[in-house]
Amino acid sequence: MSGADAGRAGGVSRLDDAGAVSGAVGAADATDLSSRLVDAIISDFPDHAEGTRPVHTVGIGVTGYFQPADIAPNFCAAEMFTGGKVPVTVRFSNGSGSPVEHDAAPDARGMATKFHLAEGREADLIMMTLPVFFVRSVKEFLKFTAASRPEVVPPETRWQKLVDQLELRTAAPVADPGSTTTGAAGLLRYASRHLRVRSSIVFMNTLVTPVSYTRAKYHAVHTFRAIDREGTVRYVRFAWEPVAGVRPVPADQVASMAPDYLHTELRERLARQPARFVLRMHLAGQGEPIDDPTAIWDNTEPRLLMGELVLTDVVADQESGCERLSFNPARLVPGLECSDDPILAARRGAYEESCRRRGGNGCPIMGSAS
Amino acid sequence: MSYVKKIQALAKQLFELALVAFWRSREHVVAPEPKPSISLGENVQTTMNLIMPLADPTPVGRVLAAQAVSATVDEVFTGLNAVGTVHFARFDIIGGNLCMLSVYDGDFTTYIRDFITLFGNVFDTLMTLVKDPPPMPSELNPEAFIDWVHARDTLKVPRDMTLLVPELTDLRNMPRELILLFDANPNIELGVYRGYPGSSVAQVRNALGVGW
Repeated sequence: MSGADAGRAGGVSRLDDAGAVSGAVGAADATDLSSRLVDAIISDFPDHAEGTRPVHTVGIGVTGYFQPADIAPNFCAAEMFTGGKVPVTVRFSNGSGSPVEHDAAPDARGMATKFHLAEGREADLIMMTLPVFFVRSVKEFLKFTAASRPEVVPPETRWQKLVDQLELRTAAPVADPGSTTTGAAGLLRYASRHLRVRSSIVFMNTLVTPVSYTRAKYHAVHTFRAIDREGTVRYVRFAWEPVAGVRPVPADQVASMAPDYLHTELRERLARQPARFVLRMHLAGQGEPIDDPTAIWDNTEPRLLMGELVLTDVVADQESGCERLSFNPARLVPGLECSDDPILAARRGAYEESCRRRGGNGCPIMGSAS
Repeated sequence: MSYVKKIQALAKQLFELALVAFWRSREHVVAPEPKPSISLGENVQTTMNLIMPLADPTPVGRVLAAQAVSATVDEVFTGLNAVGTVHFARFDIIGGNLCMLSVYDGDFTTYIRDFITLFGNVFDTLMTLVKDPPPMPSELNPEAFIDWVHARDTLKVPRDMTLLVPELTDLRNMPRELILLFDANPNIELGVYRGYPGSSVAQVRNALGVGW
């Protein structure tokens, strides 16, 4: 690994200069770690149902196609950017690991896209509405999930609430609806002590409830290496932007939304007309952190329009056509590679482990460029 | 709005002002220094929002300011052309303030030094109309002028507002820290959209083939 690549973007470099990163852990250790990660996530959701995804449990699958932009091959030689229309399957989801659908609950939303390429090859892009991830390393992640375990929180007294107001503080976390516990209290304490976790917590608190899964912006969070036909490597991040624009439910209407309104709305919307997104590829500037998913990239660097996603149909058989599918952020094809982000590396194994446990299809990843 | 509601809103605001004054006397909040601009993109299309309260904010004073700016247009525009790193700049009068809002490439200090060199005398004229002006002429007091401009530039609030309060040890206190920071900096920049991020004036003009 070159010095310039050590955690920060050194601008454009040649593929030949990019050193490979060795795993440094054995297969058994990696499996154990993946298993621990999945267990850690499940522990934050007491009502997790076996056979379902540990997070982003409630979802809905749709199909359509991706049309790459004319300029896309100039920046990335991955198969989905170099030809014509590519069929896709997209799974929209709520971030919670609870199997109970609460579409109006404050939550990050997910958008996992599978590009169905020639000869059975696949590539996935996994994104969420949160623009940053919570932690930078696997070790931190395990501590983070431990801190997020639900705990009993007594309601604040009127006196405590008054003191909070006088001290211009936010109110103490309250128990989740229908419960006496919440993971928010431990999370808040953890974030108070760990500077890098704060931004994700603040962003979580400012997440809006979208009127539709197709009216939210989704971020891939991690950095990838995009390689063009000449072998030039660029460090990039991806985002799906809805062509119709981002639109939240007005705050005073959120409470009245049906528990499954996002699914219902999506079915009704696609019955009327397709939904469209554009894929933005954000190029890292000199010195931009490329292995840190907690760091937000500012909007000062070039961003490219890599293509348009057109979603046309809801998957008829959600179980076999979507819920059994394995999405994995490390499932890529030549021309697009994972960066050295340790969370991205860990997600590969964790997603495979999760897929194995719930009997999903397409794992472990085979024939991936990553 | 009914009178009762108006009175309630007023009472609430007075109570909040009293609370802020109390906490201002107990805690001193300072905005963190700008982080080093490592990335190319951080060194192009930077905003400078100079907010200068008018000495006379009445309509008469505002007309005088408008006339003064209008009389210097050729000088300013020619100077900005010569600076060569300015994407756009404009003068506005907003709520009793004379404002110069601009987007430029490169270093802030260099930008203001170019100002002083190329059309400092325009600012010397305008400074007679604003409150608490810096020592004049700017050409002979460049450091004081740069500091004066910096103090009147808006506070840039990043999307991740936690970056403004890095010393915080309890996230529940974040609202108070932000309130005190906004109290000390009444003029705030909340976000900037760039249609062609990462490109300098030089790159754009070169790509368009329009020369200098």
